[in-house]
Amino acid sequence: MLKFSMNRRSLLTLKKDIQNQHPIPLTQQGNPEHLQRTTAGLEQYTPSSLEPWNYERAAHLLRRASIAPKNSQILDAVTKGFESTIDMIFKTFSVDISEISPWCDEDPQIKPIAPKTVQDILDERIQRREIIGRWYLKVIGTSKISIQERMVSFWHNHFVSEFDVVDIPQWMYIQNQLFRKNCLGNFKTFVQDVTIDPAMLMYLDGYKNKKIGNNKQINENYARELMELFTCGVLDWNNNPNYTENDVLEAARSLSGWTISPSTHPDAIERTSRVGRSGLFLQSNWDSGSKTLMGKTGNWRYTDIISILFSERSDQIALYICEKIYKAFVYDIPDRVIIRALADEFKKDWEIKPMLMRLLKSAHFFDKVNLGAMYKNPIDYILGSLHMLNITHIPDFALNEMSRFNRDVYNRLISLGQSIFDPPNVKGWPGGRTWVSTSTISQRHKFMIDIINGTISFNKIKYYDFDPIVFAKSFPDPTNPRTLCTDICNAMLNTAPSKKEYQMLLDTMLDGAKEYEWTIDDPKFQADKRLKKFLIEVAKLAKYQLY
Amino acid sequence: MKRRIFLQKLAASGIILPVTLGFPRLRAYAKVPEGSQFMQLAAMNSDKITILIRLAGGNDGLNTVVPYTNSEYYTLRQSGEIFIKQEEVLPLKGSSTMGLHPALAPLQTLYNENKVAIIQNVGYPNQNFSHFRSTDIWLSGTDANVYESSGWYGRFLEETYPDYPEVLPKDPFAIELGTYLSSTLIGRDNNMGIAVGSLDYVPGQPDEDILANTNAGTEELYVKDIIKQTNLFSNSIIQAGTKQTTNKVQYPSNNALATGLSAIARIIMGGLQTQMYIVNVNGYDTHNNQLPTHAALHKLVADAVLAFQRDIEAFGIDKKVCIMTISEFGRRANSNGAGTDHGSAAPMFVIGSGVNGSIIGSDPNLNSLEGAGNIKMQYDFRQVYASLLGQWYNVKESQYIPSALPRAFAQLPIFKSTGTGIQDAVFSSLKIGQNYPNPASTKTIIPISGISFGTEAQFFLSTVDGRTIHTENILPGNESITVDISNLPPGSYSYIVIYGQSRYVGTMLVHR
Repeated sequence: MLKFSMNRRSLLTLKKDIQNQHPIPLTQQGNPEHLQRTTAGLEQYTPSSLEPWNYERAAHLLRRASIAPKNSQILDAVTKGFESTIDMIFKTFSVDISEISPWCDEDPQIKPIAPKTVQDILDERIQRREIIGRWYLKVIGTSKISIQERMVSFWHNHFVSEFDVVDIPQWMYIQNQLFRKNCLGNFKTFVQDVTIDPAMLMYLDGYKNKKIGNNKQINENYARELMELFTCGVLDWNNNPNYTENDVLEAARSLSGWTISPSTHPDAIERTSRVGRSGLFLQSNWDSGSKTLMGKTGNWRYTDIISILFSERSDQIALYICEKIYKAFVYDIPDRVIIRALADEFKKDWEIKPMLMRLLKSAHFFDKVNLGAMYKNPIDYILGSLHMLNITHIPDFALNEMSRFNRDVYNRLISLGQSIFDPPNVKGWPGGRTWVSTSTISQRHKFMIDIINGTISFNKIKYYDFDPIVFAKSFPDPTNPRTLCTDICNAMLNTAPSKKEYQMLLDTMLDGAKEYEWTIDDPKFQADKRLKKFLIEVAKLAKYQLY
Repeated sequence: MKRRIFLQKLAASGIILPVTLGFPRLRAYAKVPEGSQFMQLAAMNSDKITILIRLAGGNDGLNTVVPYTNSEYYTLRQSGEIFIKQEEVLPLKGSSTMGLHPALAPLQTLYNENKVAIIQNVGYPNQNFSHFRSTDIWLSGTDANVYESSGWYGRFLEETYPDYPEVLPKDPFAIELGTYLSSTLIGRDNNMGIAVGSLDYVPGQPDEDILANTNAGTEELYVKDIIKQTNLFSNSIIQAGTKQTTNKVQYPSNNALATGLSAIARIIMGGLQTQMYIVNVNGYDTHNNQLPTHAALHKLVADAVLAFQRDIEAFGIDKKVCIMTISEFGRRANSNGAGTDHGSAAPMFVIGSGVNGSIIGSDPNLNSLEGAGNIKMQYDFRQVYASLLGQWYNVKESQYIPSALPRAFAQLPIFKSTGTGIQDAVFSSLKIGQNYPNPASTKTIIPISGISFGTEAQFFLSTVDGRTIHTENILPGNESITVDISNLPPGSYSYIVIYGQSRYVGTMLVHR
């Protein structure tokens, strides 16, 4: 025990110097006393004999930039080389909507059209809500190696809407596709599009924000979050406020006039869509008086105040967004030198893709200090485990019948704190260390035991079908227990096990047998049982929670 | 955030136990040495328990404790008719002007039994209107201009149990239901509480291997700590839950708060010594669709609280358990047409058999609103925290200042017990009287006697948010203190006399 705490203390002292040089107040950094920093900057990582493009680095890039890569895909990226892998990651693709296309774009019929009744509409909504959730899960789970779905989920956690509030599956779908369309595009355009997106108008009450004649019903909800959470944040890096309460009110007035109605509404002079139910701008609902935002006075509408925001607070917006990107891809404790450099470029044109590409190609991203220190969110954890173990889904992400497998994954995500389409509040999932708590750690371990042992079944059909022998045979030398143990650890863990851990794992695998007795071909040896025990121990290592 | 009415994904299944929005801290756990005693949770000299119910989103105070005889209320809430009709308001005995929202009938019942303290107009100076920033202020207990990611109760526990985590308690200090631990229970260096969801698997003990000197190594240490904590406390919670598997009363169904509270009642009865429980109820951010949403939330909370109170009464443990509600802010006095936007001061509830049933404070002043239409604060929320620590947990100020709260805050008469701090033997001779005249406009006199030769007492005059504006020493032989108040703005002030470990708090009014 003494060793343990001394180790921790020495770790602290080592870091003190680095910490002292850091230009930001400690409270703003999260948890800086334990921080390791690197001098590696945004200069491009170049594979070399010292820092080769190998399995470890390919896995690092694919696990963070894409979602839940398979072992074969990582091996493939090693073969392809670094530049080609980056190219592959930044290719976008369109997603299959055939299973939801009959209705996903349609008018959700808030008031039923005969012969449908209100109850029919409600029943349908509840059913479709689950289908949309499982559709999204399927999109993520079957995605190619690409940054697209990683960014869609990033933006979903930035421009938050909760299904619990929006309630209309079609609108969550439309918003989800909007995230896909803009995920690597122009951030300013993105903010404009999100502002009038139906799900967002619903979620933050934009549709109720209006002034008709002298009847003023100005609703501040969206205006506040637009500044506080979506663009500049509350404070700048010197802890000065980025906006005033009056800015919130004036922005709210400028944002008024939008509602959600069938797109055929005759009075609309602007709309988000020509089909279904759409965000609509009704001049008669708009507060047309003069407004003053951040010192600029005029007869502003929503595009105007977004332009004012992006010109008056460009530095703050760029820093706020780049910091969030940094935390999502590198480490929870931001490095302000890197973020400053990213932001200075980003604010020139607000293009997301070049900023991201610069970060993901950088020496900083690939520096040893930044490997294996991020927490797997529940989707990374669950899908990553299933993909890594090549576990067959029965039936595979089916939508048309109520797939028990899919439903189990869906429910597990809820118990691990990441209910699809339902972030906890408008700030989104806080991420990082919060993913692992006294409650979720036991649920995470239990999930691994369930999928490896295949214990969950219904009518004798297993939800998860795992064959450890087939899995072992996917590695180059399954006949040598040491090599096999090393190879599986390399694939499943982002940092190598310590000597002590390795010995424990090998002992578990052998389970009393001598190394030379190891065989996976003789059923009497029961290598399958030994492998299952071993894999559960790998998954129970603390480092399995990280990537 | 409208229709969401449930606890943070709380597993509704039988045993609740080990499931956080702050940034959890890194801590290190020592093994409990063979044969040694567990730390006893008695450092507070108290067996009292608090259930903190956080009404997340900003609870509308005016539609909770309603000024139903004030026509200004109906004017402010006219647009969209976001008011509670006069005939529907539940009157509160002792007040002819304030009543409860009709869905709070169960609280009226408890109020009539003198088990509910309503503290009016609670807030803090320089109100922040962001959910997240204001929540941080309420949970950290700091001033509005101080950024602190730890929580007041977490820091208090850290100060009280300095040997933690080298020496571990048998039971967790504090439990929060849900998947996250909020900052209330996070100290400067350690997580002082645990999050609890459903418990059907206890992970094994991780090894004590030396960790890599990298960020990955640091985070691995964090995960190992969580695993150890889960192992450690799961057993005591499961044990308590196994000892007491039933409740004494029927709790309302389809009510996640009731499910949580019923489980808490069982584990308290099962012997768990945990002294703070936190449950979160979301959905109070009623910018829109306010009336039905808010009514449903009030019903959910009031039904659950009444069942819980009856349950602990039947168990005979009601004298050591209280419930306290907090919310990051109240809402704007005026309607936005469909609901209300973010506001400032609002009432708090403290409920239990050990509570002085009463309304503390004046009616919200609707004729003198601040800014965009916000209610002026009368009491600082930290006065309520200070009362909880002092009167309920019987903790002296020196034990929580400046660790949990930045300075002394005048306590409010919320609990029946006034704490034992005042009964200190050597210094018990002190006698302080009510100031006169009161209210006063130019000067006022506070009678004082009983200061022994060779000692002295300190006198403090402070604003309601706890800012000291005047201090002086009181020497033996003094029979009164005269305070010049001619320069003070009208309002309520506290005077505090500290003598040894004793402490006397009085309230005075300045009128012009």
